[in-house]
Amino acid sequence: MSVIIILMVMSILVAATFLGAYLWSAKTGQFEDPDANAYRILHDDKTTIKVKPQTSIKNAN
Amino acid sequence: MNSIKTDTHSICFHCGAETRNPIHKEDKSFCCNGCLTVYNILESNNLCQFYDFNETPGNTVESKNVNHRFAFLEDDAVLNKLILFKQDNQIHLSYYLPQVHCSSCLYLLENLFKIQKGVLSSKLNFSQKELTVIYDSTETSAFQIAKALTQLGYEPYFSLSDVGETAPKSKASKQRLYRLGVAGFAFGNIMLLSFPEYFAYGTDLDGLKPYFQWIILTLIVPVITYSASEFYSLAWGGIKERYLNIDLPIVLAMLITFFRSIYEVFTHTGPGYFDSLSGIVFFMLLGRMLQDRTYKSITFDRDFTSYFPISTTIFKQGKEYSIQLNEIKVNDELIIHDREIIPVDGLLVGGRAVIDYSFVTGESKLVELDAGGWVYAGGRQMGSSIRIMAQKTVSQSYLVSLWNKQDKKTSTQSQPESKYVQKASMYFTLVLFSIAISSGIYWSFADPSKLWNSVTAVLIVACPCALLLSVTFTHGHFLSLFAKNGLYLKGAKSMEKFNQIKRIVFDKTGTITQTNEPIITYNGSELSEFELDAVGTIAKESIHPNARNLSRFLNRVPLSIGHVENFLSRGISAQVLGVEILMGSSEFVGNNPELEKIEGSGLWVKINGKVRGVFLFKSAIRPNLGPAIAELSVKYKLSMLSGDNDTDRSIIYNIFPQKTDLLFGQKPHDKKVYVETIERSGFPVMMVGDGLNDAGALMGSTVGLAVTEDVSYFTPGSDAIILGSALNKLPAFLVLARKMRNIIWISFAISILYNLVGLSFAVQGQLNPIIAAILMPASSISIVLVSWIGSLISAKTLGLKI
Repeated sequence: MSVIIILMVMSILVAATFLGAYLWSAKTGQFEDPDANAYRILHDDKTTIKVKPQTSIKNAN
Repeated sequence: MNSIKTDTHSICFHCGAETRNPIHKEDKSFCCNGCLTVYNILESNNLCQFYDFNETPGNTVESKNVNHRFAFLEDDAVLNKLILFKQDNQIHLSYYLPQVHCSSCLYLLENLFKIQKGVLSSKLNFSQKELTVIYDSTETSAFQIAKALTQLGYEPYFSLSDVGETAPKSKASKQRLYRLGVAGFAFGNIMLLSFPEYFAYGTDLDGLKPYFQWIILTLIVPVITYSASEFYSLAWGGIKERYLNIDLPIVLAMLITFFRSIYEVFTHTGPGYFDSLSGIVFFMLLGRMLQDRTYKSITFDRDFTSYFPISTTIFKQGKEYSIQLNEIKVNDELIIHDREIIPVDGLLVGGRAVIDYSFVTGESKLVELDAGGWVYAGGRQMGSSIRIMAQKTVSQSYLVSLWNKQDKKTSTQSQPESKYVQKASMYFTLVLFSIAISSGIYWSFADPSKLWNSVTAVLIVACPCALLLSVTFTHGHFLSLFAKNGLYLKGAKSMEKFNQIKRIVFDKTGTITQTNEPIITYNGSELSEFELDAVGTIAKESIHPNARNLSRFLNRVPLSIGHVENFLSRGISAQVLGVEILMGSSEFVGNNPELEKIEGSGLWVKINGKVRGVFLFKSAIRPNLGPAIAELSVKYKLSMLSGDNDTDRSIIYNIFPQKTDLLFGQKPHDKKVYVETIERSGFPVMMVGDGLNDAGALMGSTVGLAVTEDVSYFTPGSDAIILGSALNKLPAFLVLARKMRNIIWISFAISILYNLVGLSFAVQGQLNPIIAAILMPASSISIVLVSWIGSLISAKTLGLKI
């Protein structure tokens, strides 16, 4: 039954990892501005492709 | 004549403004050169994705000379105060951009490095509308970046408060997030690890129990020492102020639970109540956090420094310099440009002043002065530049001194809960203490071995945690309900104060009426389409607010305009396509006596030497405000204070019931005195106002409610900020605040039922950890649910958004 002990230690370690992730995200200010992050994920960087954005605008009209 | 198509409207591709003479580029139309310039910049930098996320996301760009406006950014002394962080040539600086409104803004502003050379990166805090830019000071400057942002339609706003001492407020809220996380982590794991204790009797897991207990013991330590620390400091603060707050009994119960559990574990008499303890700490922290949620984009404690600019222009030895406001000395000669705020009281020495004091005094008429006149700090110059001689320093100016007089009670402000909650918790604790003592006395005779057990158990139950949960969760729900409907409260205490209100005092300009959208009617002989175009054209040229309102109202395509002459205070004359037009006061146009008597303010029009008619301006009452005021007058005595003279008297009489106190020509100081007199006679007042002129009255009242069109605008210090469009819901808000108290009592009553069950076990000395482990989460969850559902139902029945 001592395997339970190992499992338990493991489970707490997993939980502690999540706690660590939470504390890190709180520390780096990820809860401060939820809106910006929600928008930011939609923006992809098209800088390398020179022509594409202009054509897509034309299609949009 | 020009052929003008009257019904073809184009939508500006950039900002979405309707325009009748668009500028075309390719297949897109733009309303002005400013918008076109932004489009060109974006196109050449490959940033047209800006237009993909939202339709017409841009801000209308006014072309204006901003050089003098940001001159202070070239002054190292000012700049050093604004800089957040500096390393070698890398400078971190944040700009407040009130125009930020959509995801496209975010995209554009975070790609600033592609447009402005020297910008290394930029990050926008969307809810605070703050752009933090990191730039290389060898390649660009704060001034250049401010100019680039203005060109893009995001004019940065700096105010005097930016250079003042700012408290690092985000740190405290982060600490709270950490504490909550640690408590939640410990709670979850301890609960899981306690299962064997409750369910493993007689199985072979029994032998493992000590290991489990040791792990639990390790987990509870950070909860007690770290997560719960805010309760200790609040309880200690209460003791120091000789004030029994709710935190003291909570801390007492927590510590008793903790030490009794430790005792049980070490004497092998039981598993302790660690799961309940960590759970209650977690829920209480969650409740407090919900209650103290702040609106990041709204500031309540503003003073004059956030209204005044950082710097102004000083004229010295024939040259213009930028000078910081607090360095202005008496007899300095200052230059105030168009639309700048006058920073100090002074004498006008050059130019003609046309000053808009509406924000300061509530009087919407412009004040005009010739050299030698006295100007007050806080007014906004409209028109060409003027020179003034400072007569006072900033802090001694009339307006500022009025503001600084307010010093509100600060003693119990460190306590997060309102007074009646503290009082309720006191009775609650007293009753439970007497139960603890009685059961102790009983057991000391009946069976002394059970004495210790039952007394501590009662004290564990005696924790007013449930009361705290009822209050904090209900407050949290209501704060967000109010916010959804356009009322932003400074905190839970302001919400409580809504229930004390006996009288409501309204300001007129900007509160009852909408100054920026008057009702405009025309009286006179009919004007042709061309004449309307011409009138619209010259109205646009004028700086007078009525003329500007007229130009917005007519919304005409500007025609080419000949010689324009502005006669300040009287009118404007211009040649439009060979037609001579005069517009202004009745004396200015040389009035014909038949059309004379008119009510309200008017703008007369004379075309080719003939007086044609008059545009009449009446303040528009906010829509649906009439019924709301009628509803309020049933329960509260109302007053209305107006800074204006009696121009709009008739419409005011129409919406206010007869018993209302209507006072006109009230100076800021009069309003303050009026409110304070009522307060002193024992009637708590809610003051509803908008401008700096109401600042004193807002501060002097029990509840100061600041009205604004947009929460990112400046509002004077207040307990709550309400959107102008939500003002007609004020009666519903007041009822809702009353219902809130009922819901708190209901959820509290439910929690007492749980407590009674727990107590009945406790007095018998049989409060089993498993009973506590069931009762604690059950009561917490019922409280959360009751307060949530209750708040939704009460908002729904009042027809508010949920």
